[in-house]
Amino acid sequence: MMLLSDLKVGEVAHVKKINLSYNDKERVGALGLIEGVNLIMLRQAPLGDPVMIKINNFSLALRKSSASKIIVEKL
Amino acid sequence: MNDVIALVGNPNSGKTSLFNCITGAHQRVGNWTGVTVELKEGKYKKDKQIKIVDLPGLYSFKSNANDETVAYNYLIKTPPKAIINVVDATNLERNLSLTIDLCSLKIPMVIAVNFSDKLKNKGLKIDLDKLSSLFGVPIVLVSAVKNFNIDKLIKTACDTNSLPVYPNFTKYNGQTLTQNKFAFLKENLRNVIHQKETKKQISQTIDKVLLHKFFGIPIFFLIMLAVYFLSINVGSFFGEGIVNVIDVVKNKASVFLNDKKISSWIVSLCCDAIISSIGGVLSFLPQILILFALMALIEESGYASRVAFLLDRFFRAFGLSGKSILPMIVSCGCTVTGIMATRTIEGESERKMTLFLSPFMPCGAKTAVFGWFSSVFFGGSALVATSMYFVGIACVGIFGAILRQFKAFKTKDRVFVMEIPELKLPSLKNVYFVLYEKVKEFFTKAGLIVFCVSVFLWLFKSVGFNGYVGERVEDSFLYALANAIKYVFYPLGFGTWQASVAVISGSFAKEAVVETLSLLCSDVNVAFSSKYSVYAFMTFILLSPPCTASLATAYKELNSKKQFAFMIVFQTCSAYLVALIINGIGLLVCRGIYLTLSLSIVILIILGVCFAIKRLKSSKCTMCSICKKGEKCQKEKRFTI
Repeated sequence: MMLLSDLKVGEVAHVKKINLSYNDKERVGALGLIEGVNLIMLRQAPLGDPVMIKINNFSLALRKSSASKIIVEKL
Repeated sequence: MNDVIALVGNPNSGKTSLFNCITGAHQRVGNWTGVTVELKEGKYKKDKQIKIVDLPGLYSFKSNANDETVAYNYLIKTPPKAIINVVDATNLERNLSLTIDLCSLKIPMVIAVNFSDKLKNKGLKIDLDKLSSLFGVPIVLVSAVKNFNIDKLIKTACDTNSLPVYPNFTKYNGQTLTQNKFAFLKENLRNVIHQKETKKQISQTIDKVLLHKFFGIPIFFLIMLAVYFLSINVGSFFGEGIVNVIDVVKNKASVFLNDKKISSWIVSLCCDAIISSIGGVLSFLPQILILFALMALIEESGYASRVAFLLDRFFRAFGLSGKSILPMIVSCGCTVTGIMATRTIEGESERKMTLFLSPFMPCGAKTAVFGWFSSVFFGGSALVATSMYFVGIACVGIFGAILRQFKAFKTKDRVFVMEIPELKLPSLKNVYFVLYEKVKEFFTKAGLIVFCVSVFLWLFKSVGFNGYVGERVEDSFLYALANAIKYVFYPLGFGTWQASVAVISGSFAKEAVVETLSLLCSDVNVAFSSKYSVYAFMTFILLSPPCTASLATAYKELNSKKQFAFMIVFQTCSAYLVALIINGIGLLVCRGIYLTLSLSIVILIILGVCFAIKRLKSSKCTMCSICKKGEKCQKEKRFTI
């Protein structure tokens, strides 16, 4: 168990729990980031924030403040 | 009977490309989320009875972004005869989660699986029959890029009466609807999508360079520099050619009219006002076109959303997010579209702030004006004109920080999540569409305004209290009026009547600035006291409220008289302040008199006080005013920047 924000570039993980508010959770969910998906940490922006993750066939940019509220399991 | 068919789908699923294909329209297309912010209507090019509506993209019905509610409200209030649900073939699972939402509407639906040309390359195979039975609607494989199956799609949409089947979620026990939807899709799509091993995509390799941790930002600046360098230098080369041709025409016309013994005021009206205003507008066209083509390439390729990713952290320091960058990059082409693009921003205060600040970016018209200034006053140095771009960025940062001191602009730290679409090769067809629309708009809007302003200026310049004054400008209405207001601009270094008039006519359309100066001065150097004041004038033009078309759009988007008035005051004040500082520095450098020293001391004190107030305010947490900056706020459980 670790936080999405602590994932290193290139690591693959399984999303366990998203500890965001209801609205925010719906928002990231609509874009395909939900509990139970697998993702790859693609890269970090300059200064390490935001991060870019890849789920299935699409890439999302996510701020570290949100990524630190998502619990993942490294695969 | 008119049949209305609505195009609905995720952002970036190629709805607008498809719309252009079906209707033969020339709507702008871009590879970033939220190119279409308003619904657009058109008619099927082969049967004018069928009306097509292109709706802004949305991810789900529960979204709270401004542009996404437009589509939902439309579907609820005026249900179309049929929906074409456009889905991205390469990303079916996420796209189909919206399809489930659409099924709840009970409107006949066809699923158009777009980007079918990319399937082979990606090693994907889709079982259309199984997908069709999943939702109980017909499915058509299309490609807007390759113009494939478009007629079949429309025919299916017109004929279909079958209502979609809303899936039964009872066997999934997720906590939210979103979870249920994805669980349903995951289970059922297993038999629909067949993925083969794929080669490494070339776009990922390019991304590695463009989004590099250290080189990403320098590359961005180099690209923008190249864009401005190309449009100003290459554009002015063609522009000068046009000016030469217009000069010849003007001389010929004046000789011809004088020969015919036509009274001198008509000659003056034709040559000084009409021909030179048309010529002035024409000479800007090459620069604006090159800039637009290059900006279209940047938007088409998907680079714009990558810039948002790169710069988000830096923009956050000023209370803006990466999403604010998209409208600002779009503003580098045209402020009107930039202001429209602010709708993609979810946070209301952040959206307003972006709307206030994005006109600071030099748009096509401003760039052309700066190109003219640098060739006339700075020996054609492209660096001077390009530096305006950096002045714009700096001012967005500085004034963003100042705006945040106002209560209305306190930003809440909302979740920031954005799709980064795959890079793609821009299609020349779409770039051509953008240019075609721009040329049309340029002649109708900008051209007409510049023309009217020129004729009015000529009228006021040539008519005074004693009737027609001809060349004796000192007796005209314009001179009397402008002389009264020129003192306002005196501290900025361009307190001459010509420059004052140029500022006013520039508020209608920025192109008119050059027109006015060349109409009013035989030698443009008399309008400015020094090179620094020329630069101050350029920054004033850059930062002062945008052209009338942009103002009208801003008013519509803000939907509040008070905020609109505040925006104009804010932009005027920032323009004045920055021009004042630049001219002050200029005076200090070239003269160094006690007067300028004392002036700059006063300015420094004012700035110091502002800064102190800001520090005082920001050292406390904006939420609870107990905890210190940077600490985790106990009350609101979030970080303050």
